[in-house]
Parts: sequence; structure tokens; C-alpha cells
Amino acid sequence: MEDQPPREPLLGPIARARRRDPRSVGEQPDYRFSLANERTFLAWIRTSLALTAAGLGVIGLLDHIRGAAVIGLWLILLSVVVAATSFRRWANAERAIRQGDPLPASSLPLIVAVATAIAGLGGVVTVLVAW
Amino acid sequence: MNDRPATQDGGLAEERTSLAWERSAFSMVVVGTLLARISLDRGLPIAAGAAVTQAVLGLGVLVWSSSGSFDRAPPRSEIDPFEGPALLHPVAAWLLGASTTVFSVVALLAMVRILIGR
Repeated sequence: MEDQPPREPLLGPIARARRRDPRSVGEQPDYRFSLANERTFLAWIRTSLALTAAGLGVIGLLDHIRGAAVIGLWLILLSVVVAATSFRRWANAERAIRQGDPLPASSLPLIVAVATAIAGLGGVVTVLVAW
Repeated sequence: MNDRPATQDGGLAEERTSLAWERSAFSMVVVGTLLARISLDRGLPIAAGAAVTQAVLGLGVLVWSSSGSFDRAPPRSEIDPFEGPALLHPVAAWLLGASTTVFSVVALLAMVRILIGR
């Protein structure tokens, strides 16, 4: 029974998440590391939600300023990227913690910083032009 | 600090984590309600439905994270200081990531739709 390969169920993505279960590798770390990783995951989720809210706000409130819509869409697009990578980041970090590996390098913080800076600069330019 | 046994942290790590869940749940409710309001105003019922779903999900997380069942610290073992709360279930983490992603995509599509119609 147990050596049968796992059936591909209807809920494919959830099954994949289960297969990537970080608990399957390494050993139980100091649980505070796992909790810190969990909080970091939640912080990324909130970052995504905040970017969405900012985008909605820019589009909804600044609809008389030309170019504001582009900035709003840009922010919401960034929120999609952040949310879509959040689970993988959490699982990879958890696996690294359990195996005693260094935390995996990620370019997402750089991407978010640069993209937010672009949005900010765009905002300044947009407001100055509209003035 | 790292050589101090986990038994001496007084449960602060659990408390911080619990508060992080509550903040996240609040954010889900607030941003979900915001998109629901905008979508309803602009006559986009599907986007509004998705946004309400996100807000209700946030309410669920809020109730769950502030309820007693969220108490994740089992009695600490003096023998094994590493024994602590269970790891966040990977399926729960995946669902939260997925729902936030879907929500962002819905917001993006709704805004594109509104801007095209403008």
C-alpha cells in the first residue's frame, strides 16, 4: 500500500503544497526560528495587501490626475508578485532552517524596493506635472 | 541569547506570532472591504464577491487567531527545550498565499476594467 506513488488528486496545488511539506526534511529546529519564519511570511502577505490598498487608493482618489492610473496598476501588479512568491519563500526558508543551511538568497526585496522607488518617483513626477 | 533555553522566553515568540496573525487578518478585512466597496460602486459584482470573500476569510482568521484554539504553546518540556508550538501547516500557508494572490489579481482586473470604461 505504502509504496504506491501518490495519486494526483483533484486539488493538485494543495497536494503539491503538501508534498513540499518542509517538515519532511531535516530536524525540528528551535521552534522560535519557525515562528519567526511564520511572522516573516505574514509580513509579506501584509505587504502585498498594503500594495493593493495603495494601488486602489491611487486609482480611486487621484482619478483627476493623468498618469496616476499607471502608478496604481503598477503597485497592484507588484502586490501580485509579492503574494504569489510568499508561500515558496516560507517553505524554502523553513527547509533551510531545518537542514541548518544558510537562508536562501532572494532578489524579491531588491525588486520590491526598486519597484516601490519607481512608483514613488512616478508619483512625484505625476503630481508636479499636474500642478 | 541563543544559548538561553527556549523555556525562558516566557512565550513572547508565540505572542508576537499571534499578533502578526491578527494584524494580517485585520488587513484582509480592511482591504477586502475597500475593494468590495469600489467594485460595487462601479457595478462589478464578481470582483465585489471575491473581495467580500477575502474580507470574510480575514474575519475567520481573526476569530481563529484570537480564540483559545490558537494557543499553540504546549506544555514545555524541561528535557527538550526545542519542543514548542507546531509548525504552521503547509496547506494553510499555501491557502493564505493563494487567496492573497487571487485577491490581488482580482483587484488588478477590476481596476483595468474601470480604467478602460472611464
